[in-house]
Amino acid sequence: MSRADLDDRFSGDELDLGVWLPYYLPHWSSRAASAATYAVRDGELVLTIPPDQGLWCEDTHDGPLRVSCLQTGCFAGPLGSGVGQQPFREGLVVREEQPTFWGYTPWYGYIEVRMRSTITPRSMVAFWLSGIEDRPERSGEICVAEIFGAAVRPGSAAVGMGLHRFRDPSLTEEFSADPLPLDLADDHSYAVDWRPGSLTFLVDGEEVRRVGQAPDYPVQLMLGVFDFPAKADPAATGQPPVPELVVSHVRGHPLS
Amino acid sequence: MTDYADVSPEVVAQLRAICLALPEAWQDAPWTGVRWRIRNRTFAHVLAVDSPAGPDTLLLFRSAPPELDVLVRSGHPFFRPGAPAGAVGMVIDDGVDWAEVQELVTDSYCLLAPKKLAARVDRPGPDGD
Repeated sequence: MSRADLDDRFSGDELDLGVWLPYYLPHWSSRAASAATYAVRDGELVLTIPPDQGLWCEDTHDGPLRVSCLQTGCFAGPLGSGVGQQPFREGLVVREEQPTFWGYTPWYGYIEVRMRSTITPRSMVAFWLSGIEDRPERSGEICVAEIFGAAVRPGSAAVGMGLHRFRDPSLTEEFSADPLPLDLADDHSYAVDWRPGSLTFLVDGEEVRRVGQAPDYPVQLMLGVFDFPAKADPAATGQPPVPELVVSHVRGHPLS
Repeated sequence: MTDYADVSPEVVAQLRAICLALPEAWQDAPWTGVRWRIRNRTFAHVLAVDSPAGPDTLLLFRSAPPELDVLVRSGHPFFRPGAPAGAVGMVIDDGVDWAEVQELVTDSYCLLAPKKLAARVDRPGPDGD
């Protein structure tokens, strides 16, 4: 279906569009309205949300959301259908047809990201593996690292990790945001060893969590930064802060 | 991506009644969900994750061996977060046994509360007496 390995160190100044689609679930809006703001420079991918970036799915998403997110796959039905990856509410319809894209869709393996970030209580960064959802039940999600700025304390951060079942009846929900001694301004690696029936999560090479179940179908990588304007500091004035996610390495390989 | 939802008022009311009956326990609203604390330690935290199939409600509390091992080995609705030490997760669904929740949350409180407060809690001993 897709390449077997990924080893992206973001060399050069262009994103590898054979791997990454620089839009966030574009079928629920359009590519124009879901485009990520990003740059590839000095061996790093930099995702940001500048002050003038618009809202994502403004009329359908519950609460204002701005996002710059890349994904390594895309699947949706025809215009007007309700078929599409990661529906966030009932009744959504495809507003812009998208070609099916399988840039990197592993099925088991070791998958790792190395990243740092600058976020505030109104923003969040995340790296997750989402079922490709070519059928609704293939929608389980392996959350490798999801960090809300509101859950960051001096010297530690609550890192969301685990398994979301969503529409996969074979899975049960097994997710929490675990406090870990991390400074988000520093590079850290977040990884999952994904095997039949088990997930082992690692941070900087150290095992931090095990889950005794796992999706059994291909997933796509999702890597992004999110901003929730409704969580803005009411006392803040001027332009909103610019959240940033800097990624130096994404790799994945099959099980040995 | 995790889309956090509001925890149902019924679940919050059940947990509030259990938690605030414990000596000097107090409630606050962290970055997501609702939690109950003794001093500055959290002994119960409930949150909800939205999903097309309906929200999943998750309760986090603390446990200690040997009960910790029994809970984690038993599988769904229990699971083990990566941190902090002794944390246990529990899926709260329509079949939840609130008497069991009360026992687990009370044990969590007693693990984290100062001894003089924990001693004021009326709970069964190891032999059930």
